[in-house]
Parts: sequence; C-alpha cells; structure tokens
Amino acid sequence: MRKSVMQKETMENDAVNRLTISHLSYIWLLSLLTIITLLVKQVQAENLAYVPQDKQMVIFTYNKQGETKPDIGELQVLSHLYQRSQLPGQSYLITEIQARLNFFLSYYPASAESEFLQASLYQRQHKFARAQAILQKLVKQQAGYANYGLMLANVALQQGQFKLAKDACARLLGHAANEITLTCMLEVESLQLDSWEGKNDQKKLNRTYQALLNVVQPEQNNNIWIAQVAAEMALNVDKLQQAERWLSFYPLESMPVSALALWADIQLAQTNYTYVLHTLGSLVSKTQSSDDALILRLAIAEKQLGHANLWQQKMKTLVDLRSQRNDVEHAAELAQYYLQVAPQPQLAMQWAQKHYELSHTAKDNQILRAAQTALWAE
Amino acid sequence: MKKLQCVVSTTIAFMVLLSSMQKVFAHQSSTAFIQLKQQDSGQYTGYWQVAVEDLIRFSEMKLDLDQNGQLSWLEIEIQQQKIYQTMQAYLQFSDGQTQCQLSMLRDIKLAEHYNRYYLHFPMDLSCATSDTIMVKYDAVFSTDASHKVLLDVQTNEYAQNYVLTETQRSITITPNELGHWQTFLDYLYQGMLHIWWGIDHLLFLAVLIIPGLLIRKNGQWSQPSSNWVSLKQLIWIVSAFTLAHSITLTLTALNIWQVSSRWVEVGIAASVLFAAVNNIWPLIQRLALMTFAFGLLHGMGFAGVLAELGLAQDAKVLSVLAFNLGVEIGQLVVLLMIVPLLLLFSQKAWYRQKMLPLSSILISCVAINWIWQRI
Repeated sequence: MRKSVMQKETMENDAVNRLTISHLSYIWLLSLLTIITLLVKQVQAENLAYVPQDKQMVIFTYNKQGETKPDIGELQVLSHLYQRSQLPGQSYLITEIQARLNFFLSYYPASAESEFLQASLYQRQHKFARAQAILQKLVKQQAGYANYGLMLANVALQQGQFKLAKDACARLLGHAANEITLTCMLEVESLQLDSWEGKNDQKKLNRTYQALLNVVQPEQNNNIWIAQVAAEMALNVDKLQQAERWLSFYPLESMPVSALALWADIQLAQTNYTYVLHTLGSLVSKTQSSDDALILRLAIAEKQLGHANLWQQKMKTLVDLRSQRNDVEHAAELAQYYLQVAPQPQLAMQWAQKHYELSHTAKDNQILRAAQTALWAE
Repeated sequence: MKKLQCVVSTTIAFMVLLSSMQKVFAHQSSTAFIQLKQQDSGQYTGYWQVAVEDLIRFSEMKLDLDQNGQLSWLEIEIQQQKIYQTMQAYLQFSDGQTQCQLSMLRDIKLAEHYNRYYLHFPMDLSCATSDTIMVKYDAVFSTDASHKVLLDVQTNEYAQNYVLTETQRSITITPNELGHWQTFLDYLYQGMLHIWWGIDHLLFLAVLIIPGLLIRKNGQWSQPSSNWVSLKQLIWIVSAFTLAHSITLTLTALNIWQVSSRWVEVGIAASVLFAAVNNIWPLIQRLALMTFAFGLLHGMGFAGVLAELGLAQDAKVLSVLAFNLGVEIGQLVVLLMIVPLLLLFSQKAWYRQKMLPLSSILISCVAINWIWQRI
C-alpha cells in the first residue's frame, strides 16, 4: 500500500517536472540575454562622449559676428534674423539674436527699437511677464506707435489677460490700419468667448467670425497674421474648408512654424493624415532642428495611419527632454502626446492639469476632459 | 540723421511686429547637463556638457580662430585651456562653508544630444566635507532665459535629479535628503500597490492557482496524493510567472523594447480569459509554460504603470528592480492568504466539481468584458 502511494507520488512528480524542466533551458537563455543586453546598454551610455578622429570636423557653423563696435544698422539685421527664426528649423537663431543684441547694447544705449526686439525675444523664451513690462513702458512712452500696442495685446492674450488685450487693441484706433485694429479686437473677443470665461459659446463665436469676414476676405488679404487669426477662428467654429482657404494663399515653405502647425491642425481635423505626413514631413525633414509643434502633428498623423514610428520616436525624445526639464509651457503638447501618440492616461492628466493652470481656452478644456475620460476608461 | 533713425526704427518695429504677432511656439530648448558621482568622502568625478552654440554665444569667446564662421574640433583642442578657464567662472561648488576645488584638466570631448554638438568637460571635484553640496551655475542665461541645466547627483547614499533655471541658479543638496534606499522603498511600495490594485493581474494569478493545487487525470481535476505535490506545482507556476514578467518588465521599462500599451492591455485580458477557459476545457496542460508565455505580457503591463510613475533618473535599474520586487512581494502576500484556503478546499469534491468551473466561468465573463472595453 505504502509502496503504491509512493509510486503514485513519484509519477505525479515526474509529470509536474516534465511540464517544466524541458523548458527551463529556454527560460534561462532568455534571462541571460536580458542581462547581456542591459550590460551592453550600460557600456554604450558611458561611451557617449568621444574625441573626434577628424580634427577638421566642423562642430558649429554660425553667422560671423564682428569683434568691433557693431553698426547702427545691426538692429535691422537682427530683426531680419528674428523673422527667419520663425521658420521651421530656424529657432536656434534666437540665441544668436539675443547674444548680438547684448553685444550691441554694450556699445549703444537702449532704445525703443532695441527694447521692442528684446520684448520679442522674451516672448519667444516664454518670459511673458518681462515682455509685457517692456511693452507697457513703450506704449506709455510712445502711444502713437501702433506696433507696441499690437504686440502688447498679443502678449496679454498669451497670458489670458483679455481686458488688457482689449485695451491695447482699442488704443490702436487711429494709429493702425482698420483691418489690423479690428482683427486685433475680434481675435481677443473670439479667444475670450472660446475660453472657460466665455463658455465656448459657438453661436457668438460664429458671429465674431462673420464680423471678421465683413472686415476682410481671404482673397483680399495679404497679411499672414490676419490670415492666421481668421483661419484659427474658422477652425474653432468648425468651418474647415474656410480655415484652409485663409492659409492657401501662402506657400507652406515660407510659413512660420505657428502657421504650419495651424495648417496641420486643419488638415488633421479633416483626417488628411497622409497629406500631413507627406507635405509637412518633407518640409520638416529638410531642417536639422526639432520644432515640437510640428513633430507632434506628424507623430499624430503617423499614429493614425499606423505607419512605422519615425516621428513618434522623435517626439518621444522631445517629450522625455521636456519632462525632465519640467517645461510646463509645453504641457499641452505633452498631454496631447500622451493622449494621441503614446496613450498613458495618468501622464496625460498630469500634464493637462499643469497646462490648465496656465491657460483656460476651450481647447485646453477639451484636452483636460479627454485626459479625464481616458483615465476613467482605464 | 534723426529722420533716418526714425525710418529705421519704424521698419524694424514693423518687421519684428509681424513675426512677433505669431502665436508663440518655442525655440529649441537649450539644455546643459551636469553629472556628479561620488567617489569618496567629499570627492566627486563627473562632467558638464554644454551645447557648442550656447557656449559661443554666452561666453563671447572668440574660438573661431580663422574667422571663417565655422568652428572646427581642432580650434577647440588648441584653445582647451582658455575654454576651461572661462568656463570655471560660471560653475561653482561649495560644501556650504568652503569652496570646493573644481578641476577640469582632462581632455575635452564631444557629445551629441538632440542633433546638436555638445562640449563634454570632465570634472573632478574635491570638497572639504561631504555633508552638503551647493551648486551655483551662471552660464548661458544671459543669451537664453529659457536655458535649463539637468543636474544629476549620485552619492553613496542617493541619486537624484535637479533642474537649474534662470530663476533658480543655485541649489543645495543635502545627502540623506533622498537616498537610493528611499527610492528603492518608494518603488517597492508602488510595485506592491500595483499588484493589489491591478485586478487583472490578481485574477490571472487566481485563475492559475485555482487548479494549480489539483492534477488533471482522466479528463477531470483530482487531488494529488500529497500537499507537497500541490505546492511543488504551485511553485513552478508562480516562478514561471515571476521570471516571465520580470524579463519583459525590465526590457520595456528600460526602453530596450517598445510595445503598444493598448494591445498589451488587450493581451492581458485575453490571457485571463484563456487561462480561465483552460481550467474548464484544458487545451494546455503544461501550465508553467502557458504561465511563462502570458507572464511576458503581464510584465509589459507592469512596465506601463512604471512608465506612468516615471523612473528615477540614473537609478533606473534600481527603480525597475524595486518595482519588480514589490510586485513579487505583493504577489507572495496574496498567495500566502489564499493558498492555505485552497489547500483546504481542494480536498473537497464540491470544490473540484462546482467551485472550480463556476469561478472560472465568472472570471471568463469579466475577462471578455475587459477585452471588449480595451479594443
């Protein structure tokens, strides 16, 4: 009896062992490969820095800056460079402009023009409060200069200060062309209506857009800023064809990053993913630089098409850096990335909340709600 | 002259205006990297990496010797001493009371990040005490207010990342503030929490161990001759699950392997369904093998959670290991609570004949619902 129980137990043991032992070798092999991969990765990480073999290797190309006192015309050169810096892959110029402006100011006293350029640079560096302080001073000193007021309105809008923006636009009356003044006012009204404050009232938003159409038509307009404001307003009221039309008079190759991103948004809203990937992709590929706004849109298009993840990988690298830098100014892009490109609801929520603390437009609210929905669905 | 100035001013203002009125999109972020690794008490080695263009702009160093608008590596090597001397003024370390001795004598190297060349300055740092490290950084901000420094400090007790910005140019780091040990405990806790809150992993484990204590014989579940045989089978199953999910968790969390989180989630739900159905109509009798295969999927799921938490920079492997260990401890706690009950119940005929199929059917329903939701 005892022998029979022992035999039974041995057989069962053998059965259990057979299930597993034959596969142990594979399991150990896999574990070994994992360890080797980890070690290789560690070694690679430590060897990132190197001494180039080719001593003539060019590591930086730049616009030569004179060592002597700059010409008074330097400001004009810098303003040209500033314009160029808005194009895809040219944002690196901002540092050069700032350095050259600093150099210029070491020889010349600050003037309204240099301060205006400085305010523009601060705006690009997301130092809105500093830009605003300079512009308010300039507007006070030279009320007749429409440009200062217009830019002040823009900076105020970026901070959600609608009243200040409205006042700055109102001050333009009599100092700037009518279509510029009215576009300025209608843009403020539209963004305010689109905000949490304005409850994203679609009827009123439509009315504001119609008012803009009464001021200027796409065919008559030759100002890309007006075209951009109008296209964004059209996009907000879901008039996608019209939004596209506003931008259609400008070649994509010469559009600033902001207009290109808007163009891509309009195309994505029409599910023209292949068009975005092909057109924008070839434009961005020509540049060395990484404009988050454009790469994000390319990554979204790529994800939607289920293509190989070239842009998604690029965006991931940028997102990792932004996260490490804790760049809250880019929280909306990070939230969108975690919603649409590499879904991770908790991270999307975290960045959407950070962004919502800074900005309260309907779109920001949409991102927040999308993150909440994704989190609940999880 | 005044009129000319006025015309120039107006032109400049208008040109800048048109481009400034665009909605603001960031310029490429300027980032420097500093790493410090403790070698001995108060002794550190590390590096400082600054983008070449940032270095040239802020320092106003005339490194382009032939003034051809192109900076070559040779021009850097020739002026190495001059560069070091200039740079040292912008980065200072102290132990809170006295200045640390910063030595940047080794050869400059080149590094690449985000399509930009960086100069890599190896550093040796010697401080009188190791209680505190105070870092003061003052480079690049004058030409780029959005410049940031990612500072990575690794001492014997801790590893932590800090960010220096234009408005926070110095930082005091006190050891024991957050150590490796604390990082380890944090991730360990998160791993345990995840297995307890991650109902899908728990159900998968449950569905495996429900019959794990029984043996399939003549088309029916029957009780093994001794508890030791049951336990042995259980140990094999749990080990296979642990090993499998450890592999994929590590690979995925360390970015060695990328998978779509959506399909992983669907796969996890499908694994629960398959294992539950397998309890009723056994297709696969080699449970340890099946567990290993599905365990790979669950590991990817764990990695997804870890990605949401974020890995402690430069303590990445430690974070992954601690999280994994947390998962194992969490799993073990669940097993210790359930196994005695199962050992008791598995001896009863009603458990084998009714409880096992019924619970498997219920779990299958839950799994089908998950698959539906996750697709």
